[in-house]
Amino acid sequence: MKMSSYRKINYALRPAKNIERKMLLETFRKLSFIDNLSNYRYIGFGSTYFTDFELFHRELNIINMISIEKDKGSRPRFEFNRPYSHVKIEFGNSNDILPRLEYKQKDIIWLDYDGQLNKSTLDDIDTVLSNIEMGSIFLLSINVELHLSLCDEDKKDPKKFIKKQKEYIDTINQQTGLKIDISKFLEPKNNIFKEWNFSKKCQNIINTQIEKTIQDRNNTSEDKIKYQQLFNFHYNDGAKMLTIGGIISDSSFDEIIPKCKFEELFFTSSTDESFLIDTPNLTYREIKYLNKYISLDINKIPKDGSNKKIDSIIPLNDIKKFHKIYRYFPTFTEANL
Amino acid sequence: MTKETIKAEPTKELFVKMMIRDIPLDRAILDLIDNSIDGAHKLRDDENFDGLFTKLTIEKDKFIIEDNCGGISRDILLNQAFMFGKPTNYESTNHSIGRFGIGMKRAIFKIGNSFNLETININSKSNMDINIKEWLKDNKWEFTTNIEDISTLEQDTKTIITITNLHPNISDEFNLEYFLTKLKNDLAFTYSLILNKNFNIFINGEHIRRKEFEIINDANLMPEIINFTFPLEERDEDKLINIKIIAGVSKERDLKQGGWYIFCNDRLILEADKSNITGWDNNELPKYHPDFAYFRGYVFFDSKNAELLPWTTTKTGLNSDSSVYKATSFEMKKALKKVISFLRERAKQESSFKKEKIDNNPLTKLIEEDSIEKNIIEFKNNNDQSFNYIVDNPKNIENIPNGGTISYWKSNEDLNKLKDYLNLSTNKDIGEYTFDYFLELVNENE
Repeated sequence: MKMSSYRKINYALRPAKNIERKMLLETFRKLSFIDNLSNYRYIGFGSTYFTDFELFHRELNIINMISIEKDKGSRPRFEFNRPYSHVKIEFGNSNDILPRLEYKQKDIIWLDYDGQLNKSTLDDIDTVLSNIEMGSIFLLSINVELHLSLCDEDKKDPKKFIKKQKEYIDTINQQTGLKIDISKFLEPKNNIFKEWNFSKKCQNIINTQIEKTIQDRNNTSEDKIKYQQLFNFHYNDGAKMLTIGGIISDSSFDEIIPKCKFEELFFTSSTDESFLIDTPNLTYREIKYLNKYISLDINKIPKDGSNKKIDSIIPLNDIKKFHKIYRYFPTFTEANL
Repeated sequence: MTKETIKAEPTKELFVKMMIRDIPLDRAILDLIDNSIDGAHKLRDDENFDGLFTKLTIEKDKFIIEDNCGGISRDILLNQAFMFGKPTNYESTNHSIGRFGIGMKRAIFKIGNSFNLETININSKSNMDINIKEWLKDNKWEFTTNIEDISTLEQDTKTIITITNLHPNISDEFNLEYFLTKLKNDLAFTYSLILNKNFNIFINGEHIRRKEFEIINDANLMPEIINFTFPLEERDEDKLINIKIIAGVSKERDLKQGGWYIFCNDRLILEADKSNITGWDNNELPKYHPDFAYFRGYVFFDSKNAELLPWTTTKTGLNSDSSVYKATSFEMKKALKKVISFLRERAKQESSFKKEKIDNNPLTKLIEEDSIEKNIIEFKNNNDQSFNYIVDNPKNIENIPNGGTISYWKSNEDLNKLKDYLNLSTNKDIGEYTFDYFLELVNENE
């Protein structure tokens, strides 16, 4: 049992998550080529904040919404925080709830897990892809951070350090069904502790499961169905996260889906290449200044009152990051609502 | 360079000594019964087998199987029955269960060294007496039979195969009470649906009673029912397979009986299966487990053309690579997941109930007390429906006090050490135990 992350942090305040949500929103808008967005159903894990539910209802007019909530103990609290009466909360593990739902309309399903990839994640992928209607979107987010409970003392003793790492990989393998080769993981190229290497492993497992389920399902349908990946996000609001997902269709969608032009959105990805949502640390004043001259090249941004070039005030790297995602960049401010 | 001929013909020994190794004795006997039932199918299109029977006599020194299912016609006897494998132009029976053209010979060879076959068909009557050891000495692939043309009524037709000069190991088996008891039990399971169509099987005079297969079907607890045909685009009745899946729960939480039951043309080929052939214990689905022992799943493959069905030659297993089974197992898995989800919830509820965290266990009551079972035969014409259950006031049953969960990582070495020390089996148990232990210490010191 994992502690639900809603107790730790308000999702709305995680900048990368916030950006991701807006990017998803922009992608979902394009689904209107396929069907009225109000005909879609949204299934997610609303937690107590229901941020995604509020956003997708407000912006897309989706009415049919189901939030799956595993924390049965705080039932009254979740019910109380429901932003709209049309959000239905199903209490239980996604493993148990998803197989029982009816899948008779198009869905947008976002399984935004707190935890890491495990057997039950694969079970959910299988359930959803075995059932959902053509034209539906399916995506999931998982934590791809490797937590090492190694103390500094262990690090001083290389033998002990390696032994502990191996034990840890062993556990990961057991929990996730991953087959990380222990003898190879210490080589720099394969070292899963390095950067996003563990995420790549997880992607691999997820994509294999997606392929398997689609293949199984194709044994039962005359019209072969396809999964087209749209999302492959990496972001880090304190823990490395991976979001992966796409659209499910059959040949009747062959002409409609290209009209959606998902590829025009620079953050979509149909490959193993992830889009990293990299958020700069900027003050409100800096954001305002950068926004003002957003259409200009960085070196053409006017100097400020003290006659300093902007990149001598704000690190160039942060300016570049901002330029990439400014349209989705959140501004947080204290407010009494 | 010259062209020479290489010998590639089979030997009689291959069939007499080798082929019989692939099949257990009881299954070989079932093959003979399958032939009787195929005879019954030929006689009765309506599948009411009232008055038709197979009688087995199984003794230390002889084996006799007798039926009144139409006898063997002159043409089939002379040109087909004793061929090894079915000739390409063989006459097939609709909904047949004898399929590969080896069953009868294999069973005879398996059991003994001599046999007599007497058969009376409406147009002919014949009798043959064969000593297999003698037959082996001869290179010709032939038997000799006495045959005469007659004219008789269908109800007077019969076939009797008497096997004597039994192999010593077979004779020993036949002498065991256990063997007969097990065989009777197997027949009751395997032919349950056929016995239900009034076919009769006797062993040493004892009439075999069919095993009843049941599943809860109640307004408050409905099994999943899925019907489809395969291949998907095929519309010709002679070329397609009808598939029906029924998945749900039984009133009995029976570890042995839980699982999938698979039938081909009403003959049971897989009994209470809990292996990954039927979807358990793979990436997406859990291992079979006592909590799931209420689960019952029934799958019926039915086709006029038995060759299309996904069974193996011994009819004791599924050909899980066949495309019809792949399509079916996908639907089975979806249904199984729904039932598993329900059974998990029941188990959680039951455990909370036992720990007195909640004062009611409506799901267990629903299964064990408030619902009724129906025989699977009654589902023959049912349309698709979704697994579904209704309990009163499910929202009122949760009464867990507010609290949180803790999670942390520990090495396997340490975990296993504590597991051994505390004699606990799961990480969760260790966590709860150690927390409670510490809490108790703190409480004592307060």
